Amino acid sequence: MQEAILKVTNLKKYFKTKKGTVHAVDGVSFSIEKGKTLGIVGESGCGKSTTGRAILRLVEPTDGEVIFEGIDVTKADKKQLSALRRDMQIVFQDPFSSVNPRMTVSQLIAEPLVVNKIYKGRGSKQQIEDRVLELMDTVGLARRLYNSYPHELDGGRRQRIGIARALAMNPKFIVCDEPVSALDVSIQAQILNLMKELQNSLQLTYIFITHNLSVVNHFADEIAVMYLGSLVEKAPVKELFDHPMHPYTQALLSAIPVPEITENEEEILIKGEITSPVNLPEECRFYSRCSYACELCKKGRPELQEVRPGHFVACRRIHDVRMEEKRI
Amino acid sequence: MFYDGNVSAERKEEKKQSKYAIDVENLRVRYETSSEVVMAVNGIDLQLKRGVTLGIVGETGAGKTTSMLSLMNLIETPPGVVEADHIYVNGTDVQRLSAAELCRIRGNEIAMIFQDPMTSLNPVMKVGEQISESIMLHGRVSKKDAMERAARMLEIVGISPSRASEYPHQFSGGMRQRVGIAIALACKPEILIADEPTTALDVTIQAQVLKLMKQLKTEYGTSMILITHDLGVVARMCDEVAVMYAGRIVEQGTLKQIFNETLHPYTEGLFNSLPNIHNRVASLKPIPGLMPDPANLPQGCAFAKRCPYAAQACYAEQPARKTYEDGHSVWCTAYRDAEFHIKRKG
Repeated sequence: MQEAILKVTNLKKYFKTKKGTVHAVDGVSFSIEKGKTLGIVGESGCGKSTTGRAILRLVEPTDGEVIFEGIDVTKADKKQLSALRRDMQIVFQDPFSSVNPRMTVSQLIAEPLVVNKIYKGRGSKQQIEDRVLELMDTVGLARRLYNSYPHELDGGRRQRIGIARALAMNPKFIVCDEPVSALDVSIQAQILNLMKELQNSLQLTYIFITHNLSVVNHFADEIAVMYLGSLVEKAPVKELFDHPMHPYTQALLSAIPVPEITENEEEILIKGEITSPVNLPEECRFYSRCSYACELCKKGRPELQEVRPGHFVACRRIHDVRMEEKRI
Repeated sequence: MFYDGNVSAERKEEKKQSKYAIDVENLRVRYETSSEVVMAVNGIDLQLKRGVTLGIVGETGAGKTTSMLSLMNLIETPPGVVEADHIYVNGTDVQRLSAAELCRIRGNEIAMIFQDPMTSLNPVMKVGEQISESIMLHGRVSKKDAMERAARMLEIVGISPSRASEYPHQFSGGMRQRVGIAIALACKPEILIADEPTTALDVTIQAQVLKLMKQLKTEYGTSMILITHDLGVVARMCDEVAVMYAGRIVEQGTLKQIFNETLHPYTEGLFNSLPNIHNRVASLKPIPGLMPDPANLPQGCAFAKRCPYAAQACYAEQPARKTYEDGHSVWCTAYRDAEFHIKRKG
């Protein structure tokens, strides 16, 4: 087994609000090997984006450890952090609101190079220009768009700018936060293929945050399912799709509309909606919506346990659930 | 009163005689601005049979929403210009109706569910009042009765009636969309147009809303048009499908025909670019390039530039409709050659 490039232990992020403490991320642990992709899946408000941002310290984690290549990101000082940020980048969901609309494509891609003062002294202007053109080629942006503004471009091209910006510093690790959710399917496939090619050629490690399970199935090596700030299940991608064990994962998988005609497909509908992450009681987070829940589930939060090789589930009723295992 | 008795009787007669819930021929919509003319819809024919759910599939800018808005005469003119040989809703040509007569039809006979549940609700009006508003507009009902019916509608869509006095911002996205559905269904319309009703929702909530819509359809026998870009939702909900591209329908048929006997290269491209959870593949096959700018459409087939099968003739002329015996239609020049077929297997 290869050594983990990133190891996250008991990561927590709480937000204090008037109504109480929001447990956005509540004790998340995982690790990723170099060159692999971890998909973090969950619905709106489950804390998946906050997890991604806390790892990069774009929001300050409340507690926990994030070890990237042996350095604890959470304890890094300003100087260490700026070095770390070159290696750790992020691609955002909405490629339009994440860029300055008054900058041209070339200025946007050059920005990280300028901010980090990569090229210094005489000839730096030329070097930056060369690098920007190189990056535009890498992400498949035509050179004629060099002086275009983002509003002149479609969503797919804007997302290519976002990717070029992330790649500018030659990172080793990228958090991809719903990078294709805002795009049409035909464009979505173009961007997914590009990201996969880049991963292979540049040896990148990804965290791929999404609500779309069919996208991660295609993209990730391992999947972590999040619910209300906690991981409820984590397994290699094939294992997770073939043998989903947590009741939430099962419901999530069965809720995906598959573009095929199927006869009488069994749907597991879960009742209600995600509860508010404010002042959570110490019980299983899925308790109120779970059809397997019993008294036992109210006694504290279940821990992740390894139930099959590499397959972790946080559920006390796992043996009952497994008996009725529903495969998709 | 919007109507006098004579017109009503005439309308009833028209309704009885019409075979289709919606019957549109040669619908064209363009938006004229000072700098350009955007050709949003370029001649579509559409028939919705009674009790059937028709899916309209296509990507952003294909003209799905514009064509549906024009059915209800909701396109703002100017800048919009709507032309059609006829637009029959329940047998009445909506183009001929006065504003008051249109008001009578909208909500009562044909209703719409919008994509974004936040922007389609009034933020400063209690949800119960928003539902009862449409009930009171269409029938001579007292405020009290209307509020009672609004509470019942909330119950039907799975929201506790006690929340009728709350404002939209107090609800989650899924619940707001249910409020939108409750408003649309409040007057039991015979025709429902749902514009991406679940796109803004999480998958588990989407499954709940789709199930609800299906139930209501079987219960009331509503004829439905479902606009979506999600072929998975289409597979779950629709009986018939029309695929739109750059303001035209490119393929139309039953669900089975579109999914298992795909004819148009664009439909094929859509299926190939979708990640499928049942079938993990190494690399997706995207459709190269982009949809053409509707302000600057090519002379020939709008898909030709992205089409792997395109020949010279495709760039020169608009493809004609070819309808097979089983009712499956395709608009593609390549099918002039009887031997032509796409590679996707059913």
